[in-house]
Amino acid sequence: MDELLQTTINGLASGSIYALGAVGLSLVYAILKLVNFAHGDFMTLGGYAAFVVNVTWGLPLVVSVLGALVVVAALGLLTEAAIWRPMRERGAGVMQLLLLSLGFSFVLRNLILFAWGGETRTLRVDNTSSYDLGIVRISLLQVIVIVVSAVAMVAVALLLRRTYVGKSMRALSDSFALAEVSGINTRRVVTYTWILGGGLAGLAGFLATIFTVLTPQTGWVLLLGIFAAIILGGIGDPFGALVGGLTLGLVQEWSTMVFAPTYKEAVGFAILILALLFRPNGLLGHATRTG
Amino acid sequence: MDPLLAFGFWAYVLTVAGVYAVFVLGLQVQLGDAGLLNFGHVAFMAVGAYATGLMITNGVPMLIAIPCAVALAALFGVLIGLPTLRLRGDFFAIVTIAAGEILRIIIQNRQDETGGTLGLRRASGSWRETNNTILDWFSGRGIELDRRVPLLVITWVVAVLVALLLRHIGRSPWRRALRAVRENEDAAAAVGKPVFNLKLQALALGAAIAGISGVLFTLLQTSLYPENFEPIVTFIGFSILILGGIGSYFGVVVGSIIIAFIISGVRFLDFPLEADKVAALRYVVVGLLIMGMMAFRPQGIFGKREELHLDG
Amino acid sequence: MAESSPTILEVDDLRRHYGGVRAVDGASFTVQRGSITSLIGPNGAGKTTAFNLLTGFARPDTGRVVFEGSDVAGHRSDRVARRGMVRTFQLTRVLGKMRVIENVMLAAQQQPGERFVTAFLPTRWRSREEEIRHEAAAVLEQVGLSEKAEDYAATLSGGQRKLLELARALMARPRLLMLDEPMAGVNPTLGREILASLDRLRHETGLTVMFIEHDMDVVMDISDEVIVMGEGRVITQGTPDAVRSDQRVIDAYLSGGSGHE
Repeated sequence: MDELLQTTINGLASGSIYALGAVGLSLVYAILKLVNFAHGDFMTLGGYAAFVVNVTWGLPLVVSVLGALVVVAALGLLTEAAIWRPMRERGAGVMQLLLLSLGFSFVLRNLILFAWGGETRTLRVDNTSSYDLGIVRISLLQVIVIVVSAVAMVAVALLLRRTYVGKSMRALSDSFALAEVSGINTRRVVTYTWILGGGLAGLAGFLATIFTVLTPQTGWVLLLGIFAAIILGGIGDPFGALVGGLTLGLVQEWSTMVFAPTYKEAVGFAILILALLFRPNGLLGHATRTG
Repeated sequence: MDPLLAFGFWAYVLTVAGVYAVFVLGLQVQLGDAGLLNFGHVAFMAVGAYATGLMITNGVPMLIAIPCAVALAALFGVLIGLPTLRLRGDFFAIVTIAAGEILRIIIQNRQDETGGTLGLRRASGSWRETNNTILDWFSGRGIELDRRVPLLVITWVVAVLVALLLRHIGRSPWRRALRAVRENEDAAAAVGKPVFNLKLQALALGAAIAGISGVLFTLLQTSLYPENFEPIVTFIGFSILILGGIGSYFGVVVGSIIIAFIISGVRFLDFPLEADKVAALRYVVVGLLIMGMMAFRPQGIFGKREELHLDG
Repeated sequence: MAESSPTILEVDDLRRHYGGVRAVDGASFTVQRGSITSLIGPNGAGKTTAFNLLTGFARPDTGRVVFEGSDVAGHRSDRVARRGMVRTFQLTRVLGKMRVIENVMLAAQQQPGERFVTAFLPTRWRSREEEIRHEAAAVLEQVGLSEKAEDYAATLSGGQRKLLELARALMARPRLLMLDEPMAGVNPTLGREILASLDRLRHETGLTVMFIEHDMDVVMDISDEVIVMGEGRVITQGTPDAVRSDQRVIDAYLSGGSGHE
C-alpha cells in the first residue's frame, strides 16, 4: 500500500510533465495540423532559458520560469512566421510539415548543444527537501511540479472554455476554413496558439529541468512519451492530453512495483501500443463515422 | 596528415554510407512504394545485427547466422505489421518508433545475453580472420589493400544488388498495386487489390533489407551497443531518403554518401572549434538540408514531383 | 447452381446505424442478373451508405448481402471486388500520381505478377502484362480517354475522372458493376454514349449494372428496374413505369431532400 501511494505520487509528478508537454503539442496539432517533432526541443530550449536567467544571471527561480515561457513562445511565433505560415500558404501536406519539423528539431537541438555544450545543467533549486506525510514521502520538487502543472492546466482550461480567444481556437480546431469564413481573425488565433503552445512547452521544459537534469537531449527524450500521452488521450483534445499524460506517468511508475525500473519507459510504450490497438480513438474517444 | 589522403578513413566513411544505403533502401520500399511512415525502422536493423551477433557468439557458423538474421528481421516486420498496419499513418509512425524503443530497452536490460550497455563483443566472430585471409590472398598477388577495402566492396556490392533487385520488381504489377495502395486504399480495394497483404509484404521486405544493413553494421563495428540503435538512426535514414528523393533508388545511394560525409566525414576537416561543437554543427547541417528539401524540393534530388505522395 | 440463378444480388434487412442516425434501416431488395437497376431516392435516403455496405466499405450491423449465392456481408472490400462486385465512388478516387493507363491496368484481374514472389519473375507475368495493356487501351478508347493514356491522372478534369473510374471498374471485368452517380460532371452526350455501351456490354457479356443517379430521365430511360430508397429503407422496387406512378415515391421525394447521404 505504501509503495502504491509512493509510486502514485511519483507518477503524478512525472505525468504532469508529460501532460504539460502534451497539451501544448496537442493544441498546435489541433489548430495547425502540425505534428511538431521539434516540440521536445522547444521544451529543452525553455530549460536553457531558465538556466540562463537563474544561474548565469543569478536571478530568482520564479523569474526564470518567465524566461522559459517568453523565450519558447517567441520561438513558436518566429517559426510560425518564418516556416509554418509560408508552408501552409504553399499548400504543404501534413507529412511534408511533419518532416520539416523533424529537420527543425535537428537544427534546434544541435544549436542548443553548440551553444551550451553537452554537460548536464541544474538550476539553483532546493532538490533535497522532502516532506514526510507518514506513509509516503513527497519531495519539494514533486510538490512544485504537481502544483504548478495543476495551476497551468486549470488556467488553460478556463482560457479555452471561457474566453473569446479560447472559443475561437476551438472553432479553428473544428474547421480552419469554416472559422475563417465566419469572420474569426484566424491569424490572431494562430498567434495565440503559438504563445500558448510555446508557453506550455517552456513551462514543461522548466519543470523537466528542475525535476531531472538538463541536457540538450532532455526534451527530445521526452517527446515519444508526449506523443504517447496525446494518443492515449485522443488526438486533438487538450483535456484528453492531460488525462493521457497523467495515465502514462502513473502506469510507468506503478510498473516499477512489478518490473525493474529500467523497463519503465518500455512499459509506457507498450501501454501506448495496446491502447492504440484496442482504443484507437483514445481512452476518452468515441467511434466516428467513416466512409 | 592530410585527411584527403587518409585512404583508410575514406574507406570507412564510404562503408558507413553503404550500410546506410542498404538501410534506407528498406525505408524506400516502405515509404516510397507503400506509403508506410515507419519511424521505428532502426529496430529491424537491430534485429539483423543482434541476431547475427548472438548466433555467432553462440557458435553458429556465420554463413548460417546471416540468412537467419535477415529472416528474423522480416519476421519481426510481420509481427509488428499484423496488429498495426490498420492504423492511421501517423499512429503507425508512433507505434513503430515505440516498438523500436521497447526492443532497444529490452536489449539494454538483458545484459547476460546481449552484454547490455557494455556491448556485445566479437559479434562479427571470425570476420577479422576472414578479412585477413582475403588481404593475404591479394598481397600474394602483389596487391596491397587497405584492411578496410574488402568490407567496403562487399557493402557496396550488397547495396547495388539490393537496389537492382528493387528496380527489378519496381516495374512489376506488384509495385503498381502497392503504389495504388499508397495513394488511395479505397481505390485499390475497390478493384480487388488485397490492401493489407500488400502493405504487410512491403513492410516485411523493407524489414529484411534493414536486417541486411544490420548484418553489415555488425561486420563493420565488430561490437554492438544498444545506443547504436536509437531512433536518431531512423531519422538520419529519413534525411537520406528526403535528400535523394522519395521513390528514387538511385537517390538513396547519392543521399547516403552525402549524409555519411556530413556526419562522419567532416570530422577530419580542420575547424577551429572543439570537437563536440563540430559534431553539433554537422547535425545542424543535416537538419537544414531536410528543411530546405521539404520546403523547396520535397521530391528530393532525384524523385519525381508528379509521383510524390506526402499527404498520407 | 447459384451462378445460373436469375438473381445476382439479394439484400435482406440490411441495417447500419451511426450514433443515433439510422443511415440504412432495414433495406431489402434484389437485383436480376443481366439487368440495369437504378437506385434512387432523395438526399439522405441512404443510397451511398447502402453501396458501402454492399461492397465491404462499411460493415452492416445486421442483414445479409447474398451475391451469386453466398453471403458477403461484412467481408473486406477487396474480397468483395474479387468476387465480381466492383464499384465506383461518388467522389472519385483516381490515383493522381499514376498515369491514366496505369490506373486502368491496375484493375486487371488474374495478373500473377501482383503476387509478391511472382513479382521477381517477369517471365511469369510479362505476357499477361501485354494483354492487360492492350485491354486497358481498349477500355480507355471506350470511355474516350485514349489521348490521356500517358498523362498523370491528377491532370484530369472532374468529368474525365468519372470516366476513368468507370474504365477502371470495367477493366476489373465485374459481374455486377456498381456505379455511384456515374454521370455527374460528365458531358451529357458522352454520358449517353457510355450508357449505350454499358447496355451493349450486358448483352454481350451478361454484365449486371446497378447505379445511383439523380437524373430521372436517364434513370427512366435505361433502367429495367428501379429501387427507391427513403429514410434508410426501400420504399418500392419495380419497373420504371410502375415506380413513376407510385404515390409513395412521390411522397418520399416531397418530404425528403434534407439531411445527408
